[in-house]
Amino acid sequence: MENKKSGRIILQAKDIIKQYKQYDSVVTAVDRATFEVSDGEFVAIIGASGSGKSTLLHICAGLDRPNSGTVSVRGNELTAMGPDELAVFRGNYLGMIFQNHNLIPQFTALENILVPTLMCNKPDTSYEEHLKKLVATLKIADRLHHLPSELSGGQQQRVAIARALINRPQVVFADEPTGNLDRANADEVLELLMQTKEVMRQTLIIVTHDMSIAAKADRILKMDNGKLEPYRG
Amino acid sequence: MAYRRPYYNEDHKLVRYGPVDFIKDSIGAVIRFFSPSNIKFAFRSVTAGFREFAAFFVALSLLQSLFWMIWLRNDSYAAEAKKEAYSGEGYNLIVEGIDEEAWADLYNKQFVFAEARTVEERGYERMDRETYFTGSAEYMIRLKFVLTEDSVEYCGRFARKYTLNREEFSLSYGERTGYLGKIASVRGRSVLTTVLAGLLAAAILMLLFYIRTNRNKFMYGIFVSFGGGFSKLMETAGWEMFAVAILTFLPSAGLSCLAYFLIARFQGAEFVFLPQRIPVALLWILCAVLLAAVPGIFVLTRRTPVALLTAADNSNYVSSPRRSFRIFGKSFPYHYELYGFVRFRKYYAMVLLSAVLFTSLFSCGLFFADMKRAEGEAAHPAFTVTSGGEEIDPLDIDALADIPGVKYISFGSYVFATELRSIVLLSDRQAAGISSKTVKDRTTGLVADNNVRYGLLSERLVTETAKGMWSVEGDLSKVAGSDIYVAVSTTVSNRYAMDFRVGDSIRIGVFESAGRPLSFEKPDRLYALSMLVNEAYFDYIDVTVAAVVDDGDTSDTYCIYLSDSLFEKVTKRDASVTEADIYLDQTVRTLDLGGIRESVVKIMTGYDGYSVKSLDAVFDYNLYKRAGERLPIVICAAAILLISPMVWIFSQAAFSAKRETEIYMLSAMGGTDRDLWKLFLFSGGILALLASAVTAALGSLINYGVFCFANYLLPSLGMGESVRYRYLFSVPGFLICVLLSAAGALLSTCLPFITYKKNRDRTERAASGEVRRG
Repeated sequence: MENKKSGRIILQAKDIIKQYKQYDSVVTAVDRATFEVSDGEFVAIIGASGSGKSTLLHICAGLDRPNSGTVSVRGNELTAMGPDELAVFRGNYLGMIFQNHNLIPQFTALENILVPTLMCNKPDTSYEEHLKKLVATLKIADRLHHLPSELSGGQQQRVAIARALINRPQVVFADEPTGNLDRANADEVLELLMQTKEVMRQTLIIVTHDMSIAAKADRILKMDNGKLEPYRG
Repeated sequence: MAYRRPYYNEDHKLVRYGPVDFIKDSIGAVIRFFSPSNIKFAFRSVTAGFREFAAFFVALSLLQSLFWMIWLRNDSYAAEAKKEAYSGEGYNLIVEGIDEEAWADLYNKQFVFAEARTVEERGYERMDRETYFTGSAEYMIRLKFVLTEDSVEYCGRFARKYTLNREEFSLSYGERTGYLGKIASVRGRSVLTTVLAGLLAAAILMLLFYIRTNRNKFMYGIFVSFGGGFSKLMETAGWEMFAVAILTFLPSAGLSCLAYFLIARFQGAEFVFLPQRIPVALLWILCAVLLAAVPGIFVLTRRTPVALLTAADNSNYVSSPRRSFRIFGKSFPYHYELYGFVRFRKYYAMVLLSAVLFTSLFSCGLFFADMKRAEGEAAHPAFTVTSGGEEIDPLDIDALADIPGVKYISFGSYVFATELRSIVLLSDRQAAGISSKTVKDRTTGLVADNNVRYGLLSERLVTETAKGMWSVEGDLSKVAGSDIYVAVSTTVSNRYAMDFRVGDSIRIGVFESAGRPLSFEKPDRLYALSMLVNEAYFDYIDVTVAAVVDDGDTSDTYCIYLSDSLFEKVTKRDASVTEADIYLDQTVRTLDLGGIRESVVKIMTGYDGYSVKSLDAVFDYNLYKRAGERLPIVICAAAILLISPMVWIFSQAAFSAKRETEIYMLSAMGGTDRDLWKLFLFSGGILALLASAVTAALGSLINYGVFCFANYLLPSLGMGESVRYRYLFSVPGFLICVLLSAAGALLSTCLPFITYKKNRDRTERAASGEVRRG
């Protein structure tokens, strides 16, 4: 796959295959996917439902293991890391925004946002300022002590974004970040992501089926029946 | 301990991870683990989320109580044993066969030695004995030391220092030293029971922890997604468990002490509390907690975050509905829930087995308590005397029996059939229980066996058995002095293996000669028996069973008791008594034992090479009476029983929470509250029935396993107490188990319906705007 930007390669996925066994048949969710992403690039992966884009994103974010193939972030091969090593790497360098927010229902918005800092043993002073800026930018300052069940879908999504960004990750993965939002909210959330990406000089990889969002990316990749190819629309 | 290989940092530069970094990281991890924030967080977490940790609070309280009960019991038992030992007469060391010079030497030296140790008390005794052959006096020293914990060691040092290099000395330990060995064994048993209880505690906590991690898989999935590795999750989970353990430490220790104090009062036993047990208890529970948490967290962190997050929708036990969801045309809720049992079969099997296991352990505990009682009350000889080969005079036996405190004497002479190359021919019915260990005799069609011993039954012994030594069916008096009547025992390795009846005929084969030289190269009894049956000639003596006796023997052979003349005919040996077991009344105190021993020794001194061996039976029985084990065991078993309802409630609450969406869906699709209540009730009813059945089956199975282990396996391996246990199933205990299992299953299934209704009402209120929404 070609890179739109000429920066250093930050993410490299090579020959990723992911298969699931369902009763007697084997379903290939990702079929030899190979691509590279440069530092600071914004890449969108589009495709129909069930085409395997979320699975690919999870593998690239180190949340799932491929059956074969390698994923490297900044030259560090995620697929060769042990579970603990990978967990620490994820916590420090990768941020993930899940499709359905995945907020812990028993925790308040603030506690949910601070989970990555707790997991990576970050001292309070290291994120205090950053947290203030994040919640202000994401407009959730007055909702920090509410449980997820007391927040709207848009607010929950913002909390999920704040959680993904709190440790200042180098690469942010977002799985349908606007999937559950109306147009106005969706645009606003995307704007926020782009804004933080620029401010924090992050790499952003988004999975979406919304072409209007994908159109804002530096590069679009298309997933079709598990196969990844450049979008030539 | 993040990276163990070179990695590229934020600036894409390769950073090497050396041993120094590893040490730094390791130290950092340890410091972080013990950081006050972790401890504070854990305490806050368990106190704020009390409901979430309720099962652990109850379990850890019960388990710590179990620990305290074990130690309080053992410390008190050891104190009683010490008191009993102190109350006993007798000596620590007995040095025999020395001349006057050596006696004087030892006499002086033991004083010096004893002075070096303690000035409070030392004792010695000089006994002169004329020896018949030399005409010179033979001296004996019996030493009695101040009885303290290190007396055994002291005796050993004394023996090494003064006598071991003098071969002419005969040195033996007296019963006082033996009692100290008993105290040491109580301590050894305490350590063993603590380790076993620790493993049990870890297993129970592991089960609860597994249920908890399963329930919170989603939360752990998020933690792992955002950087939580094994050590980080252990920091939180481990400390949470520690926090519960520490919060329950004092209440459980206090309550156990109070409970044991009352038990001790009730039993009239001593109550001992040793403060040094406190750090041991803390260490014990911390080890158990760590053992319980480590595997759960380890397994959790080996899974990918995606697997944890997507598994959140089911309970991990739930099978795919596709395989069993055939509810079309069936009734709701009964058929629906019956299929639910198929759908959730793995979960139900797991919860049934784990919850019922504890009720079964309770019934096993009751059985174990009965076994302990049987052990305590079983008759054991207090002394074994041997004459050194010479026949013990019947008058001396009478004299032994007349010693005050002696209940009865068991004496005789035994010869194994294998020693004589003798066989017995039995009918198929008589030998049915040992059929695999016998050989068919083709000539007579009878069954040949040689796993038997021949015992001498004198008239004197018949008199003794009438004092309650044996239980007898038939007429034992017919045997003594008869050449045709015999008495038989029926047990082999504690099993009633032989089917002998009064009036049965038995043929005893006395070896005459063999057609060819017999070779017994193979050390196999059955092979030897087969060779004897096929190659040897026997002189057969037909005898009739006049009495079937239970002689209390636990060995792996049964016995045919013969009169003097028949014994000599069969064994071709003198019908002389060379050995006797002396049983004492249960009223005899340890204090009186020294005097009784003196009297026994006095009678036996007439025999060259005699020996009088003390067997601690009186000490054991008095200790059993002072500090019986039954009640503490029953209380510990009851503590374990209480874990069962907790497992029911904890797992069913977690399971119902997983099914809540399904129940909402059923409600949304038209299921009325009445229907849903019926669903819960039906499910609970079925589970209660299953739980009752499994409890009955598993309880019987475990009890029978314990019975076979103690009654058959241990004696056959030459271990365990020489006690015949009865397989007793405590009916009240059994009913408690079944009822508790049924109630646990029913209530734990039905109670979540209330939670479901509460949650639904709350949701409805939220929908109507009562709860603030963004």
